[in-house]
Amino acid sequence: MPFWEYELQADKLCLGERVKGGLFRPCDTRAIRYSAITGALRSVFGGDLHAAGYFLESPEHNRVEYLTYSPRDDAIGVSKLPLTIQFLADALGRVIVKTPQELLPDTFELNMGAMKSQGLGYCHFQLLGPATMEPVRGRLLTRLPAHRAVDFEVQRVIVPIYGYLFEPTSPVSGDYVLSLFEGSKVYGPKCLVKEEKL
Amino acid sequence: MGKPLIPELHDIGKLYFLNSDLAAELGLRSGSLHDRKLMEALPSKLNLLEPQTDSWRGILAHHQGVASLADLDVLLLIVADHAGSNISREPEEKKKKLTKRGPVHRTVHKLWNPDDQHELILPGSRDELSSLVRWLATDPDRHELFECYAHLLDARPEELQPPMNVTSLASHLTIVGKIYRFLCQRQQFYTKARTVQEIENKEVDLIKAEVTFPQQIVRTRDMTLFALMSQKIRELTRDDRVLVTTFDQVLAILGPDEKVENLFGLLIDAGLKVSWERARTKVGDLKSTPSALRRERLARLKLELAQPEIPEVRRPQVLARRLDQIDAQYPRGVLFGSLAERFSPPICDLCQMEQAIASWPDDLQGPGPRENLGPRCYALRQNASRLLKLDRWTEAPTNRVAWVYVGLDLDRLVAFLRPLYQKYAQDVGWPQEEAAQIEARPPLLLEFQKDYRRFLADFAASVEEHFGSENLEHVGGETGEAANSLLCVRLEAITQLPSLLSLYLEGIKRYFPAMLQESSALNVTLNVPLRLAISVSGVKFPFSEHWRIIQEEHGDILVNVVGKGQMRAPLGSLPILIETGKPSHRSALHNLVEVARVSEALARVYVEDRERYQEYQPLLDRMRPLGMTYASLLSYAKILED
Repeated sequence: MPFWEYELQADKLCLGERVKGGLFRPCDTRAIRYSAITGALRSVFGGDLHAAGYFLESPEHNRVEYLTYSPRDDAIGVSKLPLTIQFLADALGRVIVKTPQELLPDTFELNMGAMKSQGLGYCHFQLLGPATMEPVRGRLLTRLPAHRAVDFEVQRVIVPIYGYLFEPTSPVSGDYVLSLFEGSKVYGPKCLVKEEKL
Repeated sequence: MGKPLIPELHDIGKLYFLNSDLAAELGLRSGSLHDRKLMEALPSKLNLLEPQTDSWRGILAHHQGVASLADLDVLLLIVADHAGSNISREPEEKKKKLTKRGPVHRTVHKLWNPDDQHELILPGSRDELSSLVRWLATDPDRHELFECYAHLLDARPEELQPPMNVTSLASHLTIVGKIYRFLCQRQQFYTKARTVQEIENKEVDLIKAEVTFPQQIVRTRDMTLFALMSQKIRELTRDDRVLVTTFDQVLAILGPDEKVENLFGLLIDAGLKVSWERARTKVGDLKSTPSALRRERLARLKLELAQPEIPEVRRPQVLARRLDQIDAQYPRGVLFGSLAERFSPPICDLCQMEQAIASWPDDLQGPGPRENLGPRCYALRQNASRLLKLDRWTEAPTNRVAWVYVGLDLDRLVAFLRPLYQKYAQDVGWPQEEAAQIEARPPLLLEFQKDYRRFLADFAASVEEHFGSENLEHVGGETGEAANSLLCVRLEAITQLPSLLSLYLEGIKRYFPAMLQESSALNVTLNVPLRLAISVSGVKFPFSEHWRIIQEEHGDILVNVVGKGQMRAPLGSLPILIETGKPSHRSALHNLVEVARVSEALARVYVEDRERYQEYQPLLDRMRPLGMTYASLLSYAKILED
């Protein structure tokens, strides 16, 4: 299956991460993890696709901002503890999708991530073209399940940085699987690796 | 049976000086007791019995420079003495020739603070010398040595002759003791070697590691992680393989076949994460850090690739092959506890590295949010000691706090010290080509670290004095360097920020004035080994976000105010930043921020406007040569707006 490179743009986006201590929800600020983007694309387009990406380093984009929100429990009529949500403003990223050509349109929109009810997560995708899969040596820019790395043509892992990503095993359950996180030193495709320079 | 040879005692003679009157009385010539003949003759001249210990044998015999395997302990002592020296002892004749050029200096020359010199008076009366011989006959250990002679060991240079006088005996002996015991415990270094040179040519690995933790700290209770980390690093320091440690970094040596897991086991068992790098060198050539050695190799590769013999088209292949070889020569890795391939939910909310097995708090009926925790994080929560002041501040959510972190990076320290040392060697008459060979070796790093710890303690004390002890919490650990490396200060107003910067600058001026000269005069800001990060927010804002920002590469100084922005600056710009923060400039800064609220582009025009030239231009003119920009000025102005 071919790989396609899309540009992702969103006004406000909060991806990944779990609520910490019941009062703060951080977000991924560098990597667009496999579990989040693949899940979001499959929920709209279905089919056999795999995706991962990263946010660009740009002074005008991907500003880290905060929103404080106090969800109200209407059943008992009280507001819960205020929750501080971290999000990216003017998000700009690259998403690499492994999919048959006919599955995804050139441009599309979808909602993803947290706090959709508060206006976060509306994303616009624009096809840039076939992804550059030429292998280079450098730092991985995304988060991939270790057993999926080969699907993205990561040929060799030199220094891994491990963490865990959620992988659904059925519509109602899933496992946490060992994953390669951004910063891992690898031989992998240029589209997902920041090449090491001399 | 007596104690084995105590290597730290071998230079004890350097702490005594036999003056001419007493020398004449005893029928000896005057001089330092480091002279073998003087030391050997002393017991009989004082009518005392010669100590019958292995350490005494080491004190007398280590001068010879040669020893046989029959005296294995002395042989290893000589090797350790050379390896623990500032300047490579090879070749000894060349060093002697070079160092006969100038007068001796009796104080330690601090490369980072040359004016900090103290007169050293060495003991040498008949009573003092008799006490020394009797004390040595009791076969003392290294702890007794460092206890009895603490002040003298710190003040007496390892060598009096410049440029070797840059480290104290204390630093030299600490490293010699570690290397000696490291060699003694490893037969591979001496089974087939017969001479000092043969052992010095044996391979050994230099390891540098950075210690972190996977947890994202949100609750004050979890800050006990810092205490845990500092306690474990302190325990690791006792290992003879470990030469230098800081708040979060370790420099160590390992035998070529030894595994890093074995060295860092106690950190990994505690749930900490260790990123390590390794480089092979020789016992007689312990210098620098692995990444500095790797960078040297990469620089050679760059030159190699530029050679016309390698055609342009083949360069990527050659580069890839060479980089693979360099990876094998200078391996790197990350160590963490065992990792499962997969597990079922829930995941530990705190570290996200293992399956959760417990819920926190234990009381299921208790109020507030619940967290799922893995075994490591659950144990951490149960053993947590509370930071009482910080807890109290969180009761008033309007309180504002500044997290103040001061860090020391060993790679940058090596890069900072090397040119200073080379310059000093040239200043005392070494030819440039000889001076260029000088490296920053472990005793010099240790010497710097002593002043760094004093600097940290002084800085924390001055913050306490300025802000009041009720407004200061030591977060980094329970004692020492760790406790003073990470502070939490309760602020009345953001306008107090320049005071923190002023206190830091005062400390730098007092302990490391060379850093300001280097930064401003030579503009080599990257070599400043210290990093200051101040991150400010409301007290309820999660610490993990502050820590993430603090951990990012940010140069010498970072000031971050959540919701307002960040300012990064080189150390040399600190005096100007402090000046800018004074009330006399406040109205100009306020006006600038107000204009920037409408448009940042308009604010730039406002600053450059002819009418306001006198108001802003002097500030910008002083900032620009230091790498500060209009954007930095604007960030700083916004940050100072309360």
